[in-house]
Amino acid sequence: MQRGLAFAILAGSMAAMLSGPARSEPDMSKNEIVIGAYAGLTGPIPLTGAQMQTGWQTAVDEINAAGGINGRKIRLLIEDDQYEPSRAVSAARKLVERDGVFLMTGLGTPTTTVVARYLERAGVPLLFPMGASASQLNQAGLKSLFMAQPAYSSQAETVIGWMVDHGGVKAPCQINQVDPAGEDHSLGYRRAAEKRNLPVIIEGTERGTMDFSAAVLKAKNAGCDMVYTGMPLESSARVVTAADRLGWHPKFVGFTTQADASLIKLLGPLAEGFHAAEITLAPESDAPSMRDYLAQLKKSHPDTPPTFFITYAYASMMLAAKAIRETPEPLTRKGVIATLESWKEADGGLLGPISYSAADHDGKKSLYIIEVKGGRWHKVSDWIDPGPAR
Amino acid sequence: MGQAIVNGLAEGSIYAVLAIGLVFIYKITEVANFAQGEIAMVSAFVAFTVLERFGAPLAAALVVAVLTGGLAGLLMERIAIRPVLGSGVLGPAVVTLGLFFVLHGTATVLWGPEVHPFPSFFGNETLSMGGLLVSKQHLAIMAASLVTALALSAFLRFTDTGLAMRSIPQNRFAARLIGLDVPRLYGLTWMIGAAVSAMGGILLAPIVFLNTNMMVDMTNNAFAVAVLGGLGSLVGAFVGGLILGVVKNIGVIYFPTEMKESMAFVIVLVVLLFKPEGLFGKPQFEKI
Repeated sequence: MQRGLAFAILAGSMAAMLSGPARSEPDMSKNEIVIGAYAGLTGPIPLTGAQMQTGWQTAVDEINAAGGINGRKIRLLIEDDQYEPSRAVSAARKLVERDGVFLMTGLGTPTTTVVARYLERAGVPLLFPMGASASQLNQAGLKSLFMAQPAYSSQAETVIGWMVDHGGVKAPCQINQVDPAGEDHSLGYRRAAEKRNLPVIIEGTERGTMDFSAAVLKAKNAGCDMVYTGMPLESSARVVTAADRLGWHPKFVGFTTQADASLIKLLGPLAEGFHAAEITLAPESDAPSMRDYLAQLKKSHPDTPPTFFITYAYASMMLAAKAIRETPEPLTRKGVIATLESWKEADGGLLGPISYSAADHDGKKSLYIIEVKGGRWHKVSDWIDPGPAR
Repeated sequence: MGQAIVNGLAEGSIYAVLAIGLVFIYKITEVANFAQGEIAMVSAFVAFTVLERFGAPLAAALVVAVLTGGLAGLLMERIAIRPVLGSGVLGPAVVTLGLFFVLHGTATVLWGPEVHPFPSFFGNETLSMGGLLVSKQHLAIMAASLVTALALSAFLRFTDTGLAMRSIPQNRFAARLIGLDVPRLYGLTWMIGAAVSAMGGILLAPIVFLNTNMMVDMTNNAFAVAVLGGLGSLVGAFVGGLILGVVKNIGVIYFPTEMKESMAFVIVLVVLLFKPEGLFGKPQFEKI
């Protein structure tokens, strides 16, 4: 009897865990839209999580101060997932099933990879999460997911290709983190190297690695003259310092994650010559969207500089607001998806033009290269559009 | 190969400095302190605050940090460990695990998630010895961990307090019967072990950058080192650290770099298979 009861409880629990939520539209309030977000506010990437939170909240403050979206104020609910995929799914379930969020955004490639599948089943739009992966996200063919950051493979291929074609690099190699994002970086690096008949040298490292001496020594001994770091910002900084301790100073390159003032703060003079990809307008830009953003950030967070993650989070929330604003009433999730799929070279504010279609939700592919010179990031290339995704 | 060995020694000495504090506490109190790394992290943040807020010289910040670590250890023993000492092996271990989260969470609230550069007392230069390169900071960590291991061993062997401490794990009740102030000695043990850990935090911060996650990976490796060297041997912790570091760095020459961490623990498993008490530990026998 007891075993039967235990089995019934277990079976019930499993069924509850595995079943998807009902694909129903939430009852929309006339006064409020609830947006959910998952981010690693604690755990291995708390700095990035905090910056994303700042960016999202800055945008929400600005939108609500202007009266909201078509009369509806935004209420933003952020759940801490500690950068753990299982926690991120739990956070998403809670936000969708208990809090009834209208749509979601989030932070992290490994977390977004699993959350996106859950939201796909739930029919909840996942708009412009911070993260990228060609196979898992950008070009995964998910109906509810819309990306505004180029896939890491696309970024790596473009940046490494540019460094070889214009930066005097002859033997690029890569040190990456072993996870879905790292795999995506490797894919792009392989494409760039194979296109130019260059050998492929990739060193993988575990998440949370503090000492990169072994990987750096292998790259040095392999004769590399450039190292692409496919990993979080602080890990990239540790790679640079590990190389410095070995008296080795190749060119160091990163992607959008490294395009941040924090890298210069951590590395000081060692940051000089670091190249990275950038996808948002530079703070020095004269564009009205940048002026509005800087003014709002100063108002909401007076002592906070416009880092990459803050800027991206702000820009992505403004983009989500634009999609909601352009969706005809009655406001539905399906309506927002239809609106986004109709965008052709739409004004993406700080992110530049963005295009989606029913078959392509990888809306942003262009980027430009920046380099640390004199303790500041400087734009060193024009916008580069790598063309259609492969 | 030579440079890989030097890199391994440098990396291993980092694990060693943390493992020495761990082993010291375990040797006397038989408590595995999972919060050891977090004491190091908090102490380093205190030093950072003293440097940034008050503009104190680096030496003063280091002293403050070591004192903070010692005080934290003392308070942890008095408030959290002592009440559960009679509850078996698991009770105190779970309490230290809880302290890990308390310290980690509190540090995140107090200092935020930012990653900060931390100044080195020894400079950022790298020395070349016979064509092999090693940073001054790594050399300092190596020297500090060796000196600490030897000094604590000498303290336990040649001082009255040290001898009294060593007698406690042999028979805690007999130690009380002969008049030893066991609670005071436990407090002193935690204070010293935590202060050593604080020193480790300050030495590591210039290499891994100051942040609330800086010690998580290190603590895992420090436990492996402590077990490898023998949980009762301070010199074993030092040598175990160096062995682990060298094995990891030589191993990646022949195996993919992705296997670096797992290789370390394979070595620990193999050693324990043939020498369960660790390389420098003594077999424990119990009369029944």
